[in-house]
Amino acid sequence: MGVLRRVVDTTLRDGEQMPGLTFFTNERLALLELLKQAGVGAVEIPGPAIDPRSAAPEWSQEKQLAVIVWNRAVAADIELSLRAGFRHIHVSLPVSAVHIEKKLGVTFAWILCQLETCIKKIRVAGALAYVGAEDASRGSDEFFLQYARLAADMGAERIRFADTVGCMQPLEVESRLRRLQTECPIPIEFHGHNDFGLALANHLAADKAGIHWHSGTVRGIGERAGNADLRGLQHWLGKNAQKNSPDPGPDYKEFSETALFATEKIVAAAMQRAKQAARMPFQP
Amino acid sequence: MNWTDCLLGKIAAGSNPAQLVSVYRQLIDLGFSCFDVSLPAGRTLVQAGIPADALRFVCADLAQLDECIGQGWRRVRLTLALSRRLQDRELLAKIQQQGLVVSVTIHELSDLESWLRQNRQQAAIDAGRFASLILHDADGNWDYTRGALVAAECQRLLQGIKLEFQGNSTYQMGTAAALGTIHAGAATLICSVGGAFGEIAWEEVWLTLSVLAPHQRKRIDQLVGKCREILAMAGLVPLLHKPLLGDNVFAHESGIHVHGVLRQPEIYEAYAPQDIGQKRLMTIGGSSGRMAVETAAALLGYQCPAETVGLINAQIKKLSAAQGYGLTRRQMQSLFFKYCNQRQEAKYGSVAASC
Repeated sequence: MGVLRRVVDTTLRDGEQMPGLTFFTNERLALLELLKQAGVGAVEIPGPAIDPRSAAPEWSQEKQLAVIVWNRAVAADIELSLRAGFRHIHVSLPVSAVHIEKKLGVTFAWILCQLETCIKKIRVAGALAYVGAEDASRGSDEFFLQYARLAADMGAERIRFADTVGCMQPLEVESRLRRLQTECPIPIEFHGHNDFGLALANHLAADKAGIHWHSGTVRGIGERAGNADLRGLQHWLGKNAQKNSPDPGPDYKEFSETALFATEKIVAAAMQRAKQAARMPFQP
Repeated sequence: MNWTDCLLGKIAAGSNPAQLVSVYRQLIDLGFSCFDVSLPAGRTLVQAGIPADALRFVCADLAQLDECIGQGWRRVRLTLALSRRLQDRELLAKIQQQGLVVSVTIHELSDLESWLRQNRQQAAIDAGRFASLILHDADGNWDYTRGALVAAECQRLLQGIKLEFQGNSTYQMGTAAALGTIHAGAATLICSVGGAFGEIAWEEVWLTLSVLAPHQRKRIDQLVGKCREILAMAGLVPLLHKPLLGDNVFAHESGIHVHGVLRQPEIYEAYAPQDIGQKRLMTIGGSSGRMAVETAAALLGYQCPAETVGLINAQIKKLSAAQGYGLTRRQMQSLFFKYCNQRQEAKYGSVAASC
């Protein structure tokens, strides 16, 4: 077991949202297998409502690794994921004013109500619920905690603190998450983006603040400037583990370099192909 | 904040004089005021017409230092190996007599401590003779706190010394390490555009500092264009998702993101693309949603009847999965032509699409 055991790999969900990039089905399956060998803690994929390929039984019936299926907070989407047989269901809602009011045009109360409905649906079906707090970095800590407490009360396993536009800086991450993790009733996962080139530094800061879970992608692919790079996470989380314990034992040392290298080759090929997609200028 | 470039010297050997002068001018436009170069590169650059006063010559041994003195090049940087010989009175005397503007390099605090251990008082006096102390994280292993700690300690040990920082982006921590060091008092960052040659990416630090101090923010409309041009001359192309410079930095594909940006760009943009000369772009592929399909159709001059949008999107996902990338312009046009019967004037008659 290496430090990647604490990482949710989202190459197949947030990573594949990289503009122009699409994995072939065989690449998706190969990535699943290799990520398993590399020792990640879980793999996240888009729900069947977003990508019909996720409905294939290989994903929901994976036994060795938790395959977490990502959903919008839409009842129909969650039902599709449950019907496809998934046992780990992620549901995402925003927690910042700009997203709640300007993107969705709803109220904070609506968000809480929707969260309750969605988790209930997942729990009634006997599946495990994971919740995403989109744009938490630009939201208030008070609402994040309110959202987290409700999620915990409803039986959610974990909450994702997303720095959606990658605007946080390490010292801020460290101080905010140190406070949040002491008050949050369920484990927090940090999800950084790389718009300022600070994704890995922010993950390290979250780790120093005591956050156990992290998400990242192979080669840091993702929307815009991408996410935290899996290899970088392995390096910095490993170093931090080593610092905290003089002999971190197999945690830092035993991870499959060969498997990680193979995932990078697949992603590099997909990135090369992605250049062929048309990029059209647009304005709101 | 002062910026010292370390890219120009590295491309000197393979470029013609006109190219070098062009890169030099672009870097000056971006705000660089000094250029760290090896002696062979320095010779080439001076021959190309770049003023020697703008260059800082990196000397690894006494012979190179003598050559600088001989050529009349006054601004020099001592490498770690040469900096470790600063107890040598003869070397110090030479530096002083020749009126050189010298910067000293250390890799770790221990380098400075061993220098101070020799003769604390004398070392402090010697330090006063130097233009600056360069903290060089040669392996990229300093995290965001390490640079700040080292910088603070250096300032404690050698009060008033001017600090510079040179990092390394091997483990993608360079930007954060630089910010930590700058906050702790480093006044100069040694870096390169695009993080070329494993150095710290100048534009990432510049952007973060601009966002932190918006009142000092200097808009550089052509930042991306200039950086790409400089990198092209070095034979480098930024990755699609390279912060600021990549083609995808303001590109959106997923349904949720396109929908959000169409409502209000700040929902998924931390800063405006026009601030740095970028463009907001959209691709159509496996992650696209209904609104993106409708928007793309409108851009290409079509209006999709509501009942066909879902069908078109399903076709897009299928096509994208089959070819392993998003749609080309031709593929989009063909789909919209098939399913959308009302043709309007294209909003972007000459869509700057890559295919």
